[in-house]
Amino acid sequence: MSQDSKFDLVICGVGGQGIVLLSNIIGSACAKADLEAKTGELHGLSQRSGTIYIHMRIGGDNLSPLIPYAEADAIVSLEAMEALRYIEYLKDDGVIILNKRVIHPPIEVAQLSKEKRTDFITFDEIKEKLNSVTPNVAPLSGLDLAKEAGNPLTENVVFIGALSALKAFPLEVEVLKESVAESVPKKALNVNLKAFDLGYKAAYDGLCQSVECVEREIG
Amino acid sequence: MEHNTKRIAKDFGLDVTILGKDKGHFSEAMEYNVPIVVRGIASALGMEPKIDYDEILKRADELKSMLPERMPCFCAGCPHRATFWAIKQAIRGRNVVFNNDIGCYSMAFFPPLNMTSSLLCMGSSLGLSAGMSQVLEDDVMCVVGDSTFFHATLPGLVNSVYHNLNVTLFVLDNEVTAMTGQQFHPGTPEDRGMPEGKKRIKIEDVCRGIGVGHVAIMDSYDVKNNVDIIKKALDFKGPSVLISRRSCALHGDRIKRRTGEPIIQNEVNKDICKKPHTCIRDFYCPSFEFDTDDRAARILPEICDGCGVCAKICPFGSIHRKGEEAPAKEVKQ
Ligand SMILES: Cc1ncc(C[n+]2csc(CCOP(=O)(O)OP(=O)(O)O)c2C)c(N)n1
Repeated sequence: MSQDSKFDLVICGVGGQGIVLLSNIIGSACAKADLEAKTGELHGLSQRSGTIYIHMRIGGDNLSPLIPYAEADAIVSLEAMEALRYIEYLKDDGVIILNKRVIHPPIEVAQLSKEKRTDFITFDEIKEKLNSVTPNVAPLSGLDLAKEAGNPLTENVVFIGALSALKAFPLEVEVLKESVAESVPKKALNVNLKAFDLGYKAAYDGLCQSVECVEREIG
Repeated sequence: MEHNTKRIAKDFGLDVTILGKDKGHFSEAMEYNVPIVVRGIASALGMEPKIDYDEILKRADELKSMLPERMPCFCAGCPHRATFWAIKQAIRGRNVVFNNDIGCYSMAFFPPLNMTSSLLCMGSSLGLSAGMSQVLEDDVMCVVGDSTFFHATLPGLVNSVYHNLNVTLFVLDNEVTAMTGQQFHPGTPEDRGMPEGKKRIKIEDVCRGIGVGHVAIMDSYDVKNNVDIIKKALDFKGPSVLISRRSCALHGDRIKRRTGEPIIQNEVNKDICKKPHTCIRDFYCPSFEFDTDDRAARILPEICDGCGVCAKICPFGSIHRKGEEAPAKEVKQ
């Protein structure tokens, strides 16, 4: 693994999905690995249901936590629409780890209701747009995997596991897992580690054809 | 920073040009991002940015033109949504001025409420209302949160009582300072995990103590009964205060997790639902969607907080708590 290389990451989704915790977990893993990380959060007015995006710059000699347009190595999006909302940050052929979950904002639902329409935006429509920017899109069902792991609240940890599949992501699996373990309640540890592994596997399967991935056994 | 830098440069007698917002290289407004800063530096140096950020953004905007906006909205279970629903019913047919203030309730500015005549800074709403009430025929009302009440509303209240002004102040008391992360304030009940030695000051006691002629307390979730309580306050001659009380949904969830009280979600009984979509169009709770095949409303269990206010406003009584029978028709008004 390229321990000293730099990695610019945009993490986004909808308020309430545990995105700030997710970035804290990665941040403390960086501290453990002695890698410098700079991060800037932008969340809307609402604590829940608003759009959220976080810039995270790992390694390198950045002075600013903000990633310029078209320079992010990856976007991790816990909700499908939000990946498209911040697409200007992704570099050409960058990686998108994409939750299949589509959370329809009230304004969309109400508009369709008023116009007596039922054509909600679909995951496939979003993915098609994203694919016009990069072939490297790994869709995964974060919520289903979290439920499979044993608790829907582990959805955010699924995505940390997913990142660990990328060879270019400069943090070792052990450090990430250690950081997860320190951030979640003790009694939820095993469920979270399972969510991590399921996320890793889903991202590996989705990306290993086109992007360099880390191979490992999962227990 | 720019002015202080200039001051320091002057103190040291430095003959340098200091550029920033004063000469327009950077904007006074906006949340800065990399393109804005690069453009500012380039213009100060008389250069062109190397990367055409506008072009990147244009390409991105084309791709995302299909996306609906994700505007800020009240959380599932937020008592403010319930209070505003009742206010909206109560002001039907009246001419009102509604001065907004700073807190989660500021979001009344957004759809579906679109209710904001002014929005300035913490505590401004009552001061503005006091002035307006002396020159306008309309019902003048304003809203503050419990935290903003203590922080910056008391002088306005004294002023309104002293001049006996026709203003109605809503205090949305959700026990905490919600918007900034659920911090405690002097009105937070002591049993909410406050540190030892703090003494709660009740908002109603303060209002009565100052001499407000009409003070009423309502449960934010009791939406239907609140409509009349609000109308009464609006009709009162002189200053009136309505305290709408219910804990912030996120803070309430935290307490429930601590005490082990379950959160029981609601669901829609499709046999009863006649699809008026009242829950969707008037309420904007993020837990609502509708099925594409039959257009019946549906509640997302991952998001629903179980407040049950939607069940109260459903004209057909088709919403009920999971595991319980649908409420009988009596819900219908
Ligand atoms: C002068 C000033 N100080 C602090 C803030 C930061 N701030 C934003 S909202 C808020 C308080 C909101 O609390 P409350 O009025 O109780 O409303 P809630 O969010 O609980 O609905 C504060 C302190 C501010 N905007 N202005």
